[in-house]
Amino acid sequence: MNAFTLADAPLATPLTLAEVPEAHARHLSRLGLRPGAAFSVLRRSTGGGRIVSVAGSRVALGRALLRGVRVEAAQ
Amino acid sequence: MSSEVRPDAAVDAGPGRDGAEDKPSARRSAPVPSCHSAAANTGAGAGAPVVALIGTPNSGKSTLFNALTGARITVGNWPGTTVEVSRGVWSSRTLLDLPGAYSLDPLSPDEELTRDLLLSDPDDRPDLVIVVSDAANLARSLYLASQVREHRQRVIVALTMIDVAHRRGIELDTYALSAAIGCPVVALDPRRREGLAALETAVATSLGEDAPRPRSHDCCADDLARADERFTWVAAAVEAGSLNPGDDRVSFSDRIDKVATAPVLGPLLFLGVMWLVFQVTTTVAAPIQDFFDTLFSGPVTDGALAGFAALGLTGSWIEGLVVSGLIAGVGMLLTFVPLMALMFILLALLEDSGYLARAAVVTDRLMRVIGLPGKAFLPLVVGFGCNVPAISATRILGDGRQRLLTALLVPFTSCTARLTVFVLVSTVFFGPWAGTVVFAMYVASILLIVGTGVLLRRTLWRAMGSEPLVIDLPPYQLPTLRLTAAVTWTRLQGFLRTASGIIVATVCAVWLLQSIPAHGGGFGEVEVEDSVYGVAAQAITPVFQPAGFAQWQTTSALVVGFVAKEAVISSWAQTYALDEPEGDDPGSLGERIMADFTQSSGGHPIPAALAFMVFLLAYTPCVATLAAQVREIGWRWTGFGIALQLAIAWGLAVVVFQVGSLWW
Repeated sequence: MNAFTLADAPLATPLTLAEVPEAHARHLSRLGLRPGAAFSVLRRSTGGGRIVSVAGSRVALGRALLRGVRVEAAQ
Repeated sequence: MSSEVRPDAAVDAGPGRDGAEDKPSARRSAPVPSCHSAAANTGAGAGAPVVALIGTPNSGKSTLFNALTGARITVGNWPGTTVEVSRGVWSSRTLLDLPGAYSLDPLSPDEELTRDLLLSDPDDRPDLVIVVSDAANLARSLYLASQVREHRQRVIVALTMIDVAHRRGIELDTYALSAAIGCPVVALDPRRREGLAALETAVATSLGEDAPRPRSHDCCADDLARADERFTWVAAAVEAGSLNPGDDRVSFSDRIDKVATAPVLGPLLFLGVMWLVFQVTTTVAAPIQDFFDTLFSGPVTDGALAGFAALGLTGSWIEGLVVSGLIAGVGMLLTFVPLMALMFILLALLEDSGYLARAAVVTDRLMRVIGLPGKAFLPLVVGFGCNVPAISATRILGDGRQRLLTALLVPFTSCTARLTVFVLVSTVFFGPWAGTVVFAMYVASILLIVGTGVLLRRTLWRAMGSEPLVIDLPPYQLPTLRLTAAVTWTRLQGFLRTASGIIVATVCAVWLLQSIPAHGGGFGEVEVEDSVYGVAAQAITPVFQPAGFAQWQTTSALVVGFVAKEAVISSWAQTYALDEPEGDDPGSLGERIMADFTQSSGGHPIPAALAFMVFLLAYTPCVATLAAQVREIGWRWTGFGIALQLAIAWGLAVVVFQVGSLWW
């Protein structure tokens, strides 16, 4: 299984969300970032965060969050 | 608009309303109840049906609200909360614009209010809920609908952003969607006013019927399982209602974002935008402010004086009250109006275009230091021009506590009114080093903001700010003139309503106190020194002994500075009975100030002057700022802010003087 944290995830690659920090699970799920969701990382943002594309929309994630989010390369 | 989207489809009833006969206890006896004590205190009046708009942030909810209500709206905090709710009249119904919410499981005060208003009291609920849903992000938008449909409530789903969805190749079938959700679905484009008539028909039809049966949702034990059930329900509805799910191609917004959120270019673009905002709120606003200032201190005052002379009332107390109190107060209020209008226009443009979300990303890391999100940068930048619009600009922050903290920090940004005093004092005391000293005051201002922010974070708001940045980046769009104008006008009205009374009353109060003699003599015929005001200033003066500037003229100037910093220099001139200096030359006023500071500081005028400038920087900026604060955070927190500012100002001034006088 090809798993890594969001901080190490490659750009512009189809990914599947595997695990999010429990404290932020609700907040993330509202924007479509639930375990099992298909998404991709578009680019790095100012301050070391990432901008991801999920279900047609764009979501900016802060740097503090990246290490806690586990992702897998989409099958 | 996509040909597959049929706006008129909505008028058809969804299948959910068929089974409305069960559970009579939960039904309304009449479709139009009249007991909306909270909801109907303005709007179409008591007894009128109440329709609530809910939707995720950026769903186009406020655009729809403005399109439906036109200018007949009031914006204000919901009673007992800091949450802003707009109310308006739409075809003799009261329309509420509830705060943006992703779900009814509240994560913020705004969402909590939305949930409470919708669900808490069955007798006091809105008669109908319109769930404004972004057609381009349907799955995300419908989660809210899934929750509302769990309750006995009339629901209509209004699809917005149809044009964006169309550009992404998304094609929706509103009939099928309506069947899957169990309520009418209307496609509309509020920015171009399309589909509004269909929405009107759907609402009228729905209000004439009983609330549909809630969707069954008794599957699961815990919250997570319940959320999962909803996501599955939403996915099924989206699947059923989508003729073409569209594709995720690189959009126009993505191309702009390549620059706007890039590690290096992003901050540069942001600084450019902030520079523009700062320029508009200072350079562009200044001549308009000067115009009002000149108009009121010139022709209007002269006209009033001539009028009183014609009536034989020259020198009377009525003349004093009207000219020095009312006209001066209204004049001061009006000089703020163009500034506030410009600020509100800029805010609306930044919000409506979608850039504000990007700015939040760019400044996030920096602002985390004081526990605020990136967006809080904007009000603080504006504060360096003028604190009054900056306080109102805290509105861009979604979270009530963040808004409060930012509103408490804004007064520490060194506005341009303080700059004039800094320039005079530093020219008098520091000669060739004046520029450096003024610059140092700006650095001190930034340190004060960071220091106070960290202090408040560590004490009052320990739990706040731990949330990492997670923010939706809506597609960029051209702001519409109509929405910008409506939002600007509403906010300006709100400012005038609250601020006008406070500002005019304070200016009148100062005039009154300066006119009442303390030791005999006629009303309005005493020197400031012998007035109640002058005596009070002398009484306060010893407080500044440890800070080195304990003379009543300076105290008096500081008290007047509470009203407006512009008045500090003229107050000095008045109490020393000298002409106000022209241009950069402090002239004889400078000599008098220098002499007094030397005396009061026991031969340490330099640290005393620094202490005075630090005090001036940190204490309450002006009464207009207070008025704006009262509007945004209420009397209690405004009072807390004043106490905080005075404590910090006095403490720092004493430290500066005591430490400084060891050297100079």
